[in-house]
Amino acid sequence: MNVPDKLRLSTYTSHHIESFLRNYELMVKSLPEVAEWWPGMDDFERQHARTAYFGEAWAPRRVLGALYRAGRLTAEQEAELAALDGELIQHLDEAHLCYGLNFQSVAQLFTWGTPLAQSDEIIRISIRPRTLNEIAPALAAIGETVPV
Amino acid sequence: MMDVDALIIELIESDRRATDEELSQIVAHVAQAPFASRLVRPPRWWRDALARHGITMPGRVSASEAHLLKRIYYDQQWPVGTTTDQFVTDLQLAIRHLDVRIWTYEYFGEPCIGLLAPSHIRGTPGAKPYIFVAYSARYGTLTTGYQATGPETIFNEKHQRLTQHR
Repeated sequence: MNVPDKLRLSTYTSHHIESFLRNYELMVKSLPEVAEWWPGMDDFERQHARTAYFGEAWAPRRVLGALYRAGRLTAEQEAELAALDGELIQHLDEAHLCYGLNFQSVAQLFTWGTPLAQSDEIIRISIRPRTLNEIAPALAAIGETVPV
Repeated sequence: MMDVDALIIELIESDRRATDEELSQIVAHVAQAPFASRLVRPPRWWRDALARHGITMPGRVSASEAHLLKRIYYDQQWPVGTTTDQFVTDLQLAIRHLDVRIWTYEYFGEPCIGLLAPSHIRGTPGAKPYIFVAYSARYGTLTTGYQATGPETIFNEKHQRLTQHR
C-alpha cells in the first residue's frame, strides 16, 4: 500500500487526525495488559486484539507520520504522537509478542515521520536478543555498505 | 459448487482473481454472516475510556458488543442507541453496495475478505467516507466493521497476499 501523497493528505480533516491518534492511543495504552493476557488467550481472542487494537491503529499511524511531515498536526498533537511513539518503543517486547513488531518497526516510525526524531531524551528499549538475531542479517548488510 | 470459505482460501493460496460469479457468491455469503460473538477481554484502559461516557463494560464481553461500543462511544461513528442488529444491518448494506471494493488477504495468517463501500451513515461526529468490513473464512464470521477514510488507513504490512478483486 502506497503512502498517501501530498494531494491526498489534504483530504484528511482535523477530525480524522484526532481519530487516528485516538486509535493509536488505544493500541499503545492497552498493550501491556494485552501482552500480560496473551499466553492465556486462544487464537480467536488474539486475532480480535490484532484486529481491534493493532489493525485500526497501524495503517493510520503511517498516515499520521506523513501528516506530521506535512505540518498538519498541532503542537499538542505532535507532543501526543511523540509520547505514544516513545511508549510503544519502550514496550517493543510486548508489541513483538502481540503484533509482531520489531526493531524494523521502530525504524518504520522514523521513516514515516515522528516528532520523536527531534528528541534527545534517552529511551530504554526492552528487547529479546532472539528478535535482534532475526533481523541481524539486514542490520549487518547496512554496515557492510558503509565505505571504509 | 465449492464451499465459499474454501473458495476464499483457494483464492488466497493461488493468488487468483475471482470471477464475477465467484464474487457474487462471496458477497451473498458474507452478507448473511453473523458478527463474531465469542467473549473477549476488554483492556482496563479501554474500559476506563468507556466509563468516562457512563458505560460500564464487564470483564468479558462478546466481540460484537465490544465493537459496537467502540463505534458508538470511542469512534463516534454510529449514533448512541444503535443496536447490534442495526449495526450489522449497516455492515450488510455496505457489503451489498454496488460500488463495493473487495480484497482477499491473510491477516496474521488468517484467511479473510475485506470489503470497502461508500458509507451511508451521516451526521455522526466520527463519520468517514467509507465503511470497511472484514470477514474471516476461518471462523465464518464478520470480524470488524468501521468507517474509514480509504484503503491506506486499513491495510498494513500484516495484511499478506493482498489481492483486490473489484
